[in-house]
Amino acid sequence: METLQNLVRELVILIILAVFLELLLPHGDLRRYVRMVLGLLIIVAVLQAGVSFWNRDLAVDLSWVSLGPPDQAATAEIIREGERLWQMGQARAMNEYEEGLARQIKALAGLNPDLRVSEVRVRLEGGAEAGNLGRLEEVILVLDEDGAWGGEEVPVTGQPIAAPDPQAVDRLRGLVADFYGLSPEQVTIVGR
Amino acid sequence: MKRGVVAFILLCLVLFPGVCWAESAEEVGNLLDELDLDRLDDAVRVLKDEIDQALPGLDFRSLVTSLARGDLGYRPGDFLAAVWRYLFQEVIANAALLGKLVVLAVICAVLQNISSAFEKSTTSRVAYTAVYLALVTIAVGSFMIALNTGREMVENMVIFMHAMLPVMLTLLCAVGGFASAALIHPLIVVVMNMAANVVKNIVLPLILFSGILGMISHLATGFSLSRLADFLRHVGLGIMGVLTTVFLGVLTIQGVAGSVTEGIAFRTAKYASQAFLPIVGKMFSDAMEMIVGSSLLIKNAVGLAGLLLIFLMALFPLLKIIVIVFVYKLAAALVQPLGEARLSDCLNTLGNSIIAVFAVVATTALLFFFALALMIGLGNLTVMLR
Repeated sequence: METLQNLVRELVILIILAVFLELLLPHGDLRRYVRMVLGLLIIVAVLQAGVSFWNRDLAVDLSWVSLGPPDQAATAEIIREGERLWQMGQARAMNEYEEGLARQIKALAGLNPDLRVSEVRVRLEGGAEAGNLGRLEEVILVLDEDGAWGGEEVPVTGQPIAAPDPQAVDRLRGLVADFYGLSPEQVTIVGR
Repeated sequence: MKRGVVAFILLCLVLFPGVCWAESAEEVGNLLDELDLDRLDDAVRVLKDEIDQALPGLDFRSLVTSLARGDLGYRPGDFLAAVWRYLFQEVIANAALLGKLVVLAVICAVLQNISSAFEKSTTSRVAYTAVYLALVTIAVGSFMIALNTGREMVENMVIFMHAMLPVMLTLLCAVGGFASAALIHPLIVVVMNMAANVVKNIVLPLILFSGILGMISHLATGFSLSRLADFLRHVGLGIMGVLTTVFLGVLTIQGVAGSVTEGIAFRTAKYASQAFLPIVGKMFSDAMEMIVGSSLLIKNAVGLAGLLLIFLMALFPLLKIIVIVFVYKLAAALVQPLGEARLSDCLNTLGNSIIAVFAVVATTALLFFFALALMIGLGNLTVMLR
């Protein structure tokens, strides 16, 4: 750009010089010769600028265009921040999913008139692996038979201390497991 | 021209295929609080003086919140009135320039016409040349104002885009566009800086040189440099054309490639969760859909606010430049009947050069506008392909 700037400056000076010479010189052949010489000077100035362009190392002249290597740290920072927001969103989605699922299982368990399910807790797969994220790991059904288990949560097994109908417990476990595609071991029923 | 307008409208329709405005303000506020908007606020504050005329009391955060609610918060009528007021102020401010140009042109014409009254016609020609040079000096001064306005605008836009990029790309990640963000950030920064530098350091100087040569070539009758001036202008505009093609081409290809990859990956994940988790799989993907949808809404609102600010940033300098063009074209039209063809041509040439500045600056603004629109479109595409 500097070469071009110099060329324009030279051309402006030459033109102004030509104007003043035209004013100062008498009419006649001399004026024509001077005009021709100035024309040649203009051609020389343009060619000189062209040749200097040719000889210059354009890669050095235009080095500012590429602006060096990209800022990897800034990209990493953006990705980190985006990851944080993504995780936040995912955690919220998991919470809502978990709550919805628990409500749904509780409603399903409520269809069984023999047992009163007071609370449902679900455990989900939290891994980021595409197929596993949100997979149902375990369902915990809490039975509440007016403090039949003394208020503490104890597993309701085949031989409970004060279990209601054991077959009803098995039916409930089977229903939830079958409905959600789980194995019976993944459905835990506890009494409180 | 008409085709260009239609293409632009179609592009806007494709890039903004419909934004859901139904989210609550609280949701928007929560997500906005998580974002670092300080740099953006600083960038907007720099432009406050000019933007304040059109949208008084503008604040980036509140603009995003209102856009997310589907309400701009400003009436289009007020905005148009502000633009009209600004345009009128500029015309009034440039009236003095118009007066100077016309008076000098009249003096030149009188000197030219009464040259026979002098003992030697050279006297009037010297006076004519002096007046012509004075006119050129004034013209170069206002040309430089137009050029610096354009240059400043490009610089402001780069500052704004540098503040806007991290926010937009973070939100792109929040809708799952990690690959797009990782791919496009280094690229967009380099391409954007390159475009701004090429415009500021090559294209605008070339147009300046072309304008100066165009003006000076009317001074001497025998030495016309108008072809060289045209050549320089065409080189400048050619570089701008190549730059535009490269800029849009690179961004579009990279952006679309990234979002398609992500779209496929997410579609697989969604299919997997729905296939392996009957009943509940759908519930989970619906919950994810909702979260991603709200992030997408914020991203679109932030992007739209950015587009609006880019538009405003470009609008006022462009109005200023176009008023200067108007003054030169009007001056050329007024001078022509005086019989001073050289002066009229000189003013007309200068007007054309400033139109070239206008075109370059407007194209640069459009490039930044498209870069931002592309980032909005990327998020939409990623989510759409899920």
